[in-house]
Amino acid sequence: MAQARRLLAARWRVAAALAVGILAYLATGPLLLTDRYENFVITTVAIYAIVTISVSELAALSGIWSVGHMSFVAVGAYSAAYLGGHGYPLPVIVLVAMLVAAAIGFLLGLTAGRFEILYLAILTLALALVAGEVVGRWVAVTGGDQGASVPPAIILGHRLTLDEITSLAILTATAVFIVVDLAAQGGPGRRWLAVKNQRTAAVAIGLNPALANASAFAASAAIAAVAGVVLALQIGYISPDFFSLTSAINFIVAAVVGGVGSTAGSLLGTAFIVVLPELARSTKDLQVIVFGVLTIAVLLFVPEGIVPGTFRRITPLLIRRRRPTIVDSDTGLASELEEWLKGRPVARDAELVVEKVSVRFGGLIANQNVSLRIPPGNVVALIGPNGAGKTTFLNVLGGFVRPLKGAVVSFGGHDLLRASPRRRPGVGIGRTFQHAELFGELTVEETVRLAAAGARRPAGESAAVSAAAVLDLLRLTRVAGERPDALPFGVQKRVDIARALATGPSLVVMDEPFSGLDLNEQQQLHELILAFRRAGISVLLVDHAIQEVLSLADRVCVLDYGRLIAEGTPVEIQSSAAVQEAYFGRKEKSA
Amino acid sequence: MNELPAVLVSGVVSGATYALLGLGIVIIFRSTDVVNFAIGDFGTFGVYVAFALLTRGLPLLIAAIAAVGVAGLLGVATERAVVRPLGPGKTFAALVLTLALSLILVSLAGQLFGHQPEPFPALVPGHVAILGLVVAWQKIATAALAVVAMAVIAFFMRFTRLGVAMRAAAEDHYAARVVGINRGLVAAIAWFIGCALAGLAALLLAPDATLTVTLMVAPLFRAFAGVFLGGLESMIGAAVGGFAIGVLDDLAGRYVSASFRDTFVFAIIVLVLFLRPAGLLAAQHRQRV
Amino acid sequence: MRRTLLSAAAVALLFVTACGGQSPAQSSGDTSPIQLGAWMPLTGSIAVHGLAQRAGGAAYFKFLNDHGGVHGRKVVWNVEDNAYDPQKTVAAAHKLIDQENSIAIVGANGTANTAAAFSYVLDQAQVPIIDTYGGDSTWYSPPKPLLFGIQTLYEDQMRVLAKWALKDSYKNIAIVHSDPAAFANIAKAGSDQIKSTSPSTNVMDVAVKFNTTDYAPVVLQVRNLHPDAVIMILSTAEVVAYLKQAAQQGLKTGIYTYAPNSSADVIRLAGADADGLKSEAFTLPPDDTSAAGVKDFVNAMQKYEAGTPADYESEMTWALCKVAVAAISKISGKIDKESIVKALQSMSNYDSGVMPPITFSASQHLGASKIQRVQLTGGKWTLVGSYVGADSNL
Repeated sequence: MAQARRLLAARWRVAAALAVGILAYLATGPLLLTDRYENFVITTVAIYAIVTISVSELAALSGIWSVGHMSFVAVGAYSAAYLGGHGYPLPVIVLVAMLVAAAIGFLLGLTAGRFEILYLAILTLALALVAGEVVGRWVAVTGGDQGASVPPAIILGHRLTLDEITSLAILTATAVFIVVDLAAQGGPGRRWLAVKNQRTAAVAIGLNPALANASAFAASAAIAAVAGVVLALQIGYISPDFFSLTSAINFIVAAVVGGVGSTAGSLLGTAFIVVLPELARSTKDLQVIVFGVLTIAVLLFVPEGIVPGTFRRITPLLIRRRRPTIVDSDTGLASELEEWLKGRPVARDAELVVEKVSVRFGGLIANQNVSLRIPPGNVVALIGPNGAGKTTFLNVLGGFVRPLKGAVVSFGGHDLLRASPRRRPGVGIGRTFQHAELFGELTVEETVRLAAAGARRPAGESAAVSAAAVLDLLRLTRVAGERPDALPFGVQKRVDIARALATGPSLVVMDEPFSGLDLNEQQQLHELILAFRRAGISVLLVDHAIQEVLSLADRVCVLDYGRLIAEGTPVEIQSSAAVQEAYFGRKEKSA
Repeated sequence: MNELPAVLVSGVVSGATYALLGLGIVIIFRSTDVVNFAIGDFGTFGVYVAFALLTRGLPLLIAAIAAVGVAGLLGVATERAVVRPLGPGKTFAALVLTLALSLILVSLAGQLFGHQPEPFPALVPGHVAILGLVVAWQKIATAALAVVAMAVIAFFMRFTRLGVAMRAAAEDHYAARVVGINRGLVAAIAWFIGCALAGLAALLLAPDATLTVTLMVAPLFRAFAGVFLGGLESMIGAAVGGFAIGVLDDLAGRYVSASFRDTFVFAIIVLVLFLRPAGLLAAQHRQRV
Repeated sequence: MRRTLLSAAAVALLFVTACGGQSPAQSSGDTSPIQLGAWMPLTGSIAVHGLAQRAGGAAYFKFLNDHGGVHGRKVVWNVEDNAYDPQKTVAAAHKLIDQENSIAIVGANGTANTAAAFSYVLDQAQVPIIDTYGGDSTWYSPPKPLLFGIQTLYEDQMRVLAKWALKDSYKNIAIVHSDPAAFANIAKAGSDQIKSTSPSTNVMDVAVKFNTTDYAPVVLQVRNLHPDAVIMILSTAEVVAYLKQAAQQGLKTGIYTYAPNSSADVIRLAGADADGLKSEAFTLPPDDTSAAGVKDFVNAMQKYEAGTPADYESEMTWALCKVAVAAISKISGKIDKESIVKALQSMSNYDSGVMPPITFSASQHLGASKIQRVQLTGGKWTLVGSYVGADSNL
């Protein structure tokens, strides 16, 4: 249902983009509604809108703000000048420009994970400066500071006239807008958003954050390069002055004013930076002041940008939306789930083996010689007071922290210490989080489908079908179209389980699954975990609460000060003196 | 004759302006999470006011105090009128907002005071030879002021009640409210100090570079380089970074290549950031997976 | 979806309002004003130049229109802001030609900016450009059919400076220039000239990053080269910075610079540190009103553009507009873009009264090759000799 709605929305948006494109084409072309000056302004808007959308979507989908996109525009423009001068046809020029820009963008994107947003912006600023100096000096290719003339565009032996270049720009912009919108709403956009929203949880469903950032940056750079090619054709001449820092900043203003991540907003924002100064030509300094004041007014009164802001304000007037927060009845859930799980193609003979895991942070010992096993189909609980080293152990399992030499962590014969964190779901390890860690900008359905996309599924079953089944089983179908912030915490935690389940695990690692749930929800979770066990799926419960896990677990391991102080059946643990001491003795002392 | 010592001295004295500006940037960023791109233009505006007072016959000292005061008050007014209503946690929106402010201030200064470059007198006349370079006392005063400002602010932040409150507010907005810190007051003070420092920097730079509406554009750029080199969260880092950029800039211009000066300087910044992703002197607390 | 449609409508509306104004059909009645255009930076970092240049041209056309115009018709001179940005320059060119029906561009500020507009203005719209500031030797050899210049080439100015320094018997000459090619090429013309005229003279090249504000390291570098003369191919702000720093470091050499830096600003900003500076000027000094042409200019500036000082920059634009009107006044018949080109090409030895005489022909579109040497003494620009060219003997 949610998918159908999104498809319908996508269709409307494509139609809208086409309509704007055709209108612009008709106005500037056959209908002769505009003169050449107006055509020039419209052409500029079309070309710059391509750059704006590349900057805006990169920020929206990956959280990366680039001040360096003018470098990619320059790659396109100089490709048009240099390759065009050497007689290469337009498609080759566009292709080369996109590839070169994408390669540079890819490398920059790979580093994105290392930096916070502002530092990454500085990195792209450095790119812009270096590009500026290189363009200024690489005279043989760029013509240096004095610029280079761009040979006229030739398509199928026909030399494009100015009016045809206007049409070309409008056509290109329309195509780019449609492609970008489809990609942003489709698979790539979901993956980039997942990585942007929750990097760790994205890794836990098998996504590669560095690759996601790099591919997003590469795509964005390639799009900006296309704009550069058309820009060069429009002017017939280029020089470094075209690619100033001021223009780079203008694109950020356009993206923010129009609305970050909004396609229509990108167009509107671009019109703002191009058309407004043209309209106010005669006002001199006043023009700049008006531009500045309007920018500030937009930021203050519609902080999310003109288009999303207007939309948010008028939506409640147009559509009365219900806020479904109630999950369907759980009757029959456990047995249905058990049946379904039994039919999944999951290895049911994998054992988790952990031996001699020690972790030290500086002088602090977080884990010391921790060993435990989870035989297939077992529920094992790892408990311990706060600060006992549970989180560190989880991070070792997840592959985020390396234990000292001599440790063994393997699952079903796969050496997990050698596998990167995102390989966990591939070998059958799913994970849930204490705070659910859902992807804030994805709907429930999108989240679960994204998790299912990388999973082993029965032949012929699509990720969408697989996700629908999981949602149905966990009684989440009614909230499938919602984003996490519209859901109560208990439901969020169930979505988290659905996400882990969709990856097709034979072991589910659950971090404090009972925390934050009400009694009813705790009972439901209890049933759910038992269903896992009956279906042959192992569970590792990591919690500091004892009561819930004692009634569930086959075996319980107790961690204190980084060491395992007890291990055994729930009954043995309940009577263990060491556990009493760790849990209750100290409590009394501190009280 | 070996020029190196003289080039180093020259780098340090020009770095002083960047250090003062950088300090202002960091103070504002730490207490309100806003990267203030208009900070230089607040300074320039202040110096124009001083210039107007000078041409009306007021003594230089009073004009200078007015410049610093006007820059600081403009900062406070800006924080109150447009930054605070924007709300917290909007780093990029705030950045765009200050960019727009910068455009407005530059055009406004052009309208009010004209685009003509104007000569501006030095606060401290005379010069002295250091290691083969004749340095104006004015510049030495700038460097000394940068160091003193750094020390005073470090003391203020560490040992005064208000300073500790400002630090607390920077660390944890919620906790700060709980323990009764007036965030509005803290923000106002931070903006006043930050922009006043920019006014001071502009005042000291103007005699050297002549007063134009774009007086602080190039220095602001280098101050930002210094801030990122030193760490956006660290006041000492910003000041040290500013001095470092001054020296690097002069070394690159003299010994590397005039044409690739920015490439050289930014290559070093990028290198440092790869080794220490939050800057040279910042606590390495947040890192993504 | 609704969002997209709505914004589409909004954008469409924006386009309509932006582009709705219909351009009036041009009537070719004899009394209608003649439309000329220009682009200059009226906003942004170098607005000060654009504003000064516009004032000079505006003063001229007000003066002209008050005196009956040309052929009994008034002249409208539209100046569009190009914000020193090439994209905005081309937009300005379109506006001037497509909407304001300019029949010639008189005044085109910025070398790269103007080059960006060539493709449209010269090739497609076929409107002539008469240019002052900016410009490149490749623009005029071979000549572009519709491009005319009245500013002596920077390379030729440099050759005059080189000869001047040699005549002053300097033996070690440093050329300090900004690093972009536009400046480096001028510097090279100078060192070539010195080497060919006096092979024994030592020439040194010092490149400086464009827009450098701190000149201490540059002056140190120059001092270590021990020159007895320095020729500066830098912007005015950088010349001022160099002069101040050189004075501070006690570096004493002969100092030379080229025509763009002859202005009242150098005197105001560098003060006594600029004293003795030898330079060149496109026009006669505006502070010496003994020449009738200069007097007209200064009076017109006081009358029509009182807010802007009568300086070299405004004087040059005044001269430019005077040249354009002189060409138009010779047209018999229809005044349009073609007839202006013909009139310009037949212009020979036209004396504007403020600058060296202008001569164009079919093969020569650069009308001026001479320059006036000047020296700054006692806070005033004074004449040195009369107009000279690159091949003159000083």
